[in-house]
Amino acid sequence: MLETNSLDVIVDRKVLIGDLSFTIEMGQNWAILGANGTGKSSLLRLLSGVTKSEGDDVYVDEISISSFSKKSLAKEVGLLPQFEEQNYWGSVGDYVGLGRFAHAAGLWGQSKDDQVITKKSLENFDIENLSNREYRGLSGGERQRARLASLMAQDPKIFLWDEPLENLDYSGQMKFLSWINQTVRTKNKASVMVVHDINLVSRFFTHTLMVFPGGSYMAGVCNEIMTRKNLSELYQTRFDQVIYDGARLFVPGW
Amino acid sequence: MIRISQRSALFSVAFLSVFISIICVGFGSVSISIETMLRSIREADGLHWTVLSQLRFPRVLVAFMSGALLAMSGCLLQTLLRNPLADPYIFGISSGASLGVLGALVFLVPEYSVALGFLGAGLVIVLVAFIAHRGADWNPYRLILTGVMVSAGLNALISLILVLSPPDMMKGMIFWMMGDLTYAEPRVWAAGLVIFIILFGVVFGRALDAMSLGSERALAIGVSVKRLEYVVYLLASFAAVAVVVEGGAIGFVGLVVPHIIRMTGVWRHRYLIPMSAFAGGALVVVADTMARSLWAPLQLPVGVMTALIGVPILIYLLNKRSDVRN
Repeated sequence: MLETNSLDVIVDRKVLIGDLSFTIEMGQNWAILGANGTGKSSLLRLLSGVTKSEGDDVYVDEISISSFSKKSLAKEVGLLPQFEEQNYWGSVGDYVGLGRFAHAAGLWGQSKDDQVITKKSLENFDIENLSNREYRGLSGGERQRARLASLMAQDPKIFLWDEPLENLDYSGQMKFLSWINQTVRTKNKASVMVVHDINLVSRFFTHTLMVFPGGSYMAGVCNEIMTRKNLSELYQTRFDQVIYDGARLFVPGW
Repeated sequence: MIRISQRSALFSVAFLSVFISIICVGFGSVSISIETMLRSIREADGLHWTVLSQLRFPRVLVAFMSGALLAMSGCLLQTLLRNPLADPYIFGISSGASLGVLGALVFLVPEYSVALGFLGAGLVIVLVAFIAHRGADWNPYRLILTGVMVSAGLNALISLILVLSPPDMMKGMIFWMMGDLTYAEPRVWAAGLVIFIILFGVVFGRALDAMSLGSERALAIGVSVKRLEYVVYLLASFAAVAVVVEGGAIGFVGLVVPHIIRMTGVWRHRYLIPMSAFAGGALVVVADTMARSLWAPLQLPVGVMTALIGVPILIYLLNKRSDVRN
């Protein structure tokens, strides 16, 4: 369980999301929606403990995340940031294996378990054949698959993904979303994901956190808060609603 | 190209560089064959033994240690700053030490030159860390810019001293600044530092690998980034100081050797750091042997030779690599 207790997301002394209190239970799959620059990525950083807030206001299983060591926190909460520096010289297999850092017991790196999990993660994202290739030589989409695989290898209890669908083709997106959906449901995990494709939300997610331009938010079950009115306010854009095959789809108006 | 594992690459490089260094012991104004070398070591007596034990062994040893420290320092800094141009002198450590040593020479207290060199370099380490750390977060960009600025300021002072000092003093100073092992001696603490950094690289190799993903991602996978960065900064700086106070600012080893190793397909720091140590050691031994035997009895500054050897190797590998890619 990951929860925030009146957390302020502050960037450059400006409060982007104010007084945020919400709880992520195991088995839940959250989408974070909001316009550009509303503090979604900063929120994920705070939830993961990569950046620290002023007060003790983020808790994992009712323990403040500031009291975890870096390694033990990485086993509880894992963040895949939107960007990272591209200075990695090694192979794709080694890159994905770095996700096991927090689990590696001895000085000598990877145990048998680590190797098995790394291999599984590579297979899950269809990149096991790239394992010996140089990470820097990959295409944007292949690189993104390797990044997703490395967080899968990290195997935290709560996954935090910042726009993970970027650069993925449709088959990659669908596979990834079905995998995380199934993992959350069957393995007692939770996932929080920043996404921009609103029509994926009701299909693959259980809960939504909407971050409005003014700094207010709305958190709840997808079906209840995914409405035309909320979306229009969220993106300052008119939306039309289409019912297709029993599902509600939203089309931005123009 | 034959693909070998990173581990066997490490053992090959270690063996080869020790072998090369032993051969280099034989070269000099009196050349000594390996047979003679072995014989005089057994007898531990005679003219050859005196040359070997008093001159050659210490010289080759100090050259090897200097190269090892510089290459590892460069490798650590390239990782810390995520910048391929980083080298052991990027923060102005050599300039700080040079200023101390020059000060000692100018104020006619040469017996304090090593102490003042230490002092100068130490002040630079503290100054750069302090300025880079003030106010905002400690990050590689602030650190590298601060270092380059401090270095530039100190270099201006050095130029000023050189211009104002008497001409006969100038040549000696320039020699020292280019790197010169003539008066260097192998120190136990420097050898200890070599071993310590190799062990550090082996033990914290994976954390160092993760640092090349940037501090945010490294933190997210569980690396204590800040602590690691401080340690890397200090170790790399100490290594540079240990070399500079003994042999001056031997250039290019720290910049070039880690790249040469990476281009042969080694990327894990666990292997990269020890391999840099061996290859850097061998490079400086060869460069120093050439520097003292090519124009013997005239001695050239070793820093010139390291660049003359290192640059063509790197350019060759760079081009070969792009051929493979295309």
